[in-house]
Amino acid sequence: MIETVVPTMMRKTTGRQCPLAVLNRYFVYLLAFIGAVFGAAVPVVSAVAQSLPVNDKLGGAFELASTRQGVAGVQDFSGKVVLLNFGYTSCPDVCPMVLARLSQLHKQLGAVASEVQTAFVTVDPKTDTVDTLTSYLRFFNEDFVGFSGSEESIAAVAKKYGVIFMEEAPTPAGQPRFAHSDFVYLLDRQGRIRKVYSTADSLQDMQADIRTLVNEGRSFWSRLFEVFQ
Amino acid sequence: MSTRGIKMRDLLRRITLGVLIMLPLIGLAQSMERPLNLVVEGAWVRLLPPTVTSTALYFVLTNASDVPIVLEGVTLDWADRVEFHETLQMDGMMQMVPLVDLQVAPGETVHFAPGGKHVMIMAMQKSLREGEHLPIVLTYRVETASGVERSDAGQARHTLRFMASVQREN
Repeated sequence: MIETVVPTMMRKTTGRQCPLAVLNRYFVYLLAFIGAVFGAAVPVVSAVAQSLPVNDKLGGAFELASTRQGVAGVQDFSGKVVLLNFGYTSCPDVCPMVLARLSQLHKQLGAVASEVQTAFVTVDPKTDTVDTLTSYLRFFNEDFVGFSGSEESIAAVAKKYGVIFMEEAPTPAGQPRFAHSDFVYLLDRQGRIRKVYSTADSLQDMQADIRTLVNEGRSFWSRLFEVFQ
Repeated sequence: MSTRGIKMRDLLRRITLGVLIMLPLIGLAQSMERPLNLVVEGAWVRLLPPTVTSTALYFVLTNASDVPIVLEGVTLDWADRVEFHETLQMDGMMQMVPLVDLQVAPGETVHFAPGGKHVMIMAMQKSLREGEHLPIVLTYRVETASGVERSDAGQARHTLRFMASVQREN
């Protein structure tokens, strides 16, 4: 036993003669570790961005009346990520469900919510004036912005975004009724459509996409930091 | 002796026939009087801003009885028009389609939930308050082996009463 211990101690003393060699070895380990970390992180950071391709066929700026002063379209949301939805306030089932989901999403985003703007365009401008939209949207979230305007201008914006809607016979109680697509459009900081959601998409997936777009304007280092958070 | 025997046999035959005719009638009368085992769970009405006069009612209904039922309608003393609807995606648009004569088989559970089947409440007479409980009256008819009960006969229509809470969706 003792005889085997002695040679190792001797080896250590020989190592001390060249302290840089030891340092060198740890430095190589450190480099390998950093390399591995980057190797794992770089595809994560870049792959997420690739999953949200720019849709250049649909979307764009518009000019409508809104519930917020100085805002006429999605282009006026000062570089925020935008969630855009179309509907009407007399809608009893789908529209409130989508808006409730967006309100929940807004809460889940926490600090990131200040970088995101949710907006609602009415397909029933005859009923939904700016005042009606103000009181309606405030119920879901104080921060939501509503758009209304002439029937022609609404139809033009809907066409731009590929939203289809159609006025139907009013309800037996005389309330307006519309058939309409209920998609939620995710716009990046430049106002380009990056994803279109249906109510079947989970809030977690939407949240992840939003965080990706919020981070797009940031440096590689802050995004890398986010990955390891 | 022989004529008496014939009379007795005849009487017995008549009694048997009478009982055979009466039995299904008694059975029918019983099924009409006894409340069916229908279970309603998680009934809620969506709270919306007071400017909106229509909303929707949702619940989960289980037909725990052994006969099929057909939902006819909901009557409320606080709204003028109530209809069963289903939201469906058609031609790329979400549309509400009236649900007429929705049948619930024995043992079947029907979900009325956002984005699907719902009871649309129109022309509400009151503004809703969060957390309040509202009375709901569901009317239905029972489908018998001989066919559908005549619902216009008045007494053949059944009612199910339950409470729904007014809630925000989240």
